[in-house]
Amino acid sequence: MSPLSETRSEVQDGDRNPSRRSEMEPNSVQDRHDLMTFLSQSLISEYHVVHDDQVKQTSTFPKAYIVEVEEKSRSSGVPFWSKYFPVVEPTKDETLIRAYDSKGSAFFIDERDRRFCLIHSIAKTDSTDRVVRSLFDNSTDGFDRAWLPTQFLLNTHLGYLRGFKFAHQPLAQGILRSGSLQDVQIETPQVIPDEYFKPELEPMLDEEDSPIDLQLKLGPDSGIPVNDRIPVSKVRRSSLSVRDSATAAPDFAAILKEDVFESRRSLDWIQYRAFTDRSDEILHSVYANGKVTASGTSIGLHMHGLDQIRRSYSKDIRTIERDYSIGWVSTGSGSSLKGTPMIIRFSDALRINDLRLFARSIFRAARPFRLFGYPHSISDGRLDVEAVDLHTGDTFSVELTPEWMRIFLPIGSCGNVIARLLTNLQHAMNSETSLLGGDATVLLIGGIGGE
Amino acid sequence: MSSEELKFVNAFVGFFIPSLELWPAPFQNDDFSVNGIEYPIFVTVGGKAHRPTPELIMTSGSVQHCILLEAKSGSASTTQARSYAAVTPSELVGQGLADADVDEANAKLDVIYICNFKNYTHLSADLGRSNLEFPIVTYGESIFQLAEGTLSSEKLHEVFVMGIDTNGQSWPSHYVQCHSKSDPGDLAATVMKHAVAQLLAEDLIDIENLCAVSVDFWLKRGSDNKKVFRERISEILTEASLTELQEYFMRQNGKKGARVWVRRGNKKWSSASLDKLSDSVENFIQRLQDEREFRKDQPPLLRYVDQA
Repeated sequence: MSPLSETRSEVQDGDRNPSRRSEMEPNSVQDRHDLMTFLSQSLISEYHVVHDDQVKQTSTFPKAYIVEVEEKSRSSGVPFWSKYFPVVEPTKDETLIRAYDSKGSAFFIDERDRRFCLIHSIAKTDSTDRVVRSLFDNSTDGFDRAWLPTQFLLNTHLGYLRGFKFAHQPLAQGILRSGSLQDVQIETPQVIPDEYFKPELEPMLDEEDSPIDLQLKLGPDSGIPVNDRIPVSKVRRSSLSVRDSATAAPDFAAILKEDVFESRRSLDWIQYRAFTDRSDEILHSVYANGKVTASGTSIGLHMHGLDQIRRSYSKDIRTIERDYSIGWVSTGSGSSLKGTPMIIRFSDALRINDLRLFARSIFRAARPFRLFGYPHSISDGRLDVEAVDLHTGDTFSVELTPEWMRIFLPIGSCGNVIARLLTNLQHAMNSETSLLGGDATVLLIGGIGGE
Repeated sequence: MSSEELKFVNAFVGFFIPSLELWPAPFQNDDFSVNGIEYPIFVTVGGKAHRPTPELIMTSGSVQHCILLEAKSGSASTTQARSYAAVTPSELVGQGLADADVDEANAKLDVIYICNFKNYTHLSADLGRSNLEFPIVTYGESIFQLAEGTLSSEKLHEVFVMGIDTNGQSWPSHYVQCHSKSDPGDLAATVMKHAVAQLLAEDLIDIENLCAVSVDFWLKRGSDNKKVFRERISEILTEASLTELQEYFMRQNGKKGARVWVRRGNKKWSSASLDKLSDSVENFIQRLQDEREFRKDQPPLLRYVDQA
């Protein structure tokens, strides 16, 4: 990593100056002010001419990943992150760490909250996604994403709704779903002809021809039991997205009113546009997997929005751990059983017809659930699962029926596993799946409002 | 406690912990906590020391009430009944078995016997011989109901007189997961979960760590009780390491008496190998649970011989 120019461009007029061409380099970043300046360079994606008729993209929009790092065995700062990045450097701010991947792309790790860190970068998404994913896949240090369920994303309210994408991948097996194909009687699911999967909507409009970007792909879903242990990569996704400031909100409301994409309305991402009366503007895309990208003119609005999401998520996870985990706690002279279980309610629109197969598809030690578990005490309409969270090694127990799942999370366990379970059930099973505390409090629904 | 008694304990604890409408929790706002599982209470009866050991001790400073639950699947002894009659809130407070807010002078205490309805007549007759009156709650046709006696808490009394209607499918099973007389078939699911977690994290399974995380209320259990658990959990691991799970772990150094099991081989775990491990654990637990069911169907003498 050769030292490069240390020219600093000031964040002017708040932080708004999209047209300037800063030459600030990552190794110049020494504090948060520098970081904002550095990231602001990429609020508008930049290109330069390589040949007469070729341009090359020099940077992409700022992006940040909310990453949970289990605190149990956590050392601090540079030594800790050195296990995961080939080059790690301190800055003058001890809660801000600079790191480079093997290809020299820069990352900035914000450790103000040591458990829920933010990893910033302006490198290309393919590269940053790969680097961040490697933290989760190869580590036993308890790294995990922030898993943002649909209601949480909706309650983020970072501005006006500008776009959204519903995505569904029917990884959960043993289910009969109602919906557009519910009346189709299929006895041999392996040989279903393609015509059963024709979309109900008209062909989507091309983005260039229309302000509406509507994409619809239907997968082999809707009432069709899938064979046991189908590799995740072979389970097709269906998705529907809208990306248009003028129509996103009414489109969203209209879709909710109709049967369109019913039970598959789990948000993969949502976009909000925010602006101030001084024309600062930011477009945020917030993903269910904890990634947030930004474009616009105001890096300040970006950082503010990110902080709001991180705080809200942190608050929800800590609430689960404080109020809805269960176990023995010391009470002066003795110990006492405290806590309340949580319940995930399944939608009425589906029916689990093979409870054991369903359990095995969720607790199968693979992405995205990353849960090891085995069913036992199986009876008609009920089984129990003992599970291990493969991110942390924490254990938990589940009681499962076709209508609900009751979760016993031991005190001291990481609550992020619940967010991962709920978010992925919404995408793999039914978007109407919800999480409640035993006291009927709806959990993991976010809402900006601080801690 | 037998499996049936453990079921009653979980059902009863569930009456105090909210779980939506899945399981009725009429006492969820009374701020009870569980202060003891199979924990002996020392009392003196006629100058002689006794240690009745209820399945459950629950107390609440908010409503100044203490409950001892004695679950029965068989007969009740007169000696035990008399020793329960000697328990007062003072014993619980003095022995660290009550919430800090419990006022020993004013709190009320109930010893509740709970049994399946089919055992009620037998239990009632047993207790009748002691000339002591205890409330008996029975479970039959999905309803928990006060069959005889009076509860000192008006609310508890009224609720149990009316009966608590339950749904068997929603019966909670994870508030208390094991007890000192648990059959290997009862214990295996919990034990193997923690054993696998240890194996994945450390490549070894240590019996002390395993007991601490698998056995409810471990730190407060007496040394005899702990010894029983250590032996039983060792048996489960030994059985697993010689049968369905033999390719995954073995006793350290192959020593017969070792209390540590280590992983066989050092291949990196993959989704496929974890799936296979999961299948093996499931098969192992299923076999132990099948064997438990088989034993239940045996005449008492054969059951005894088999367990011995």
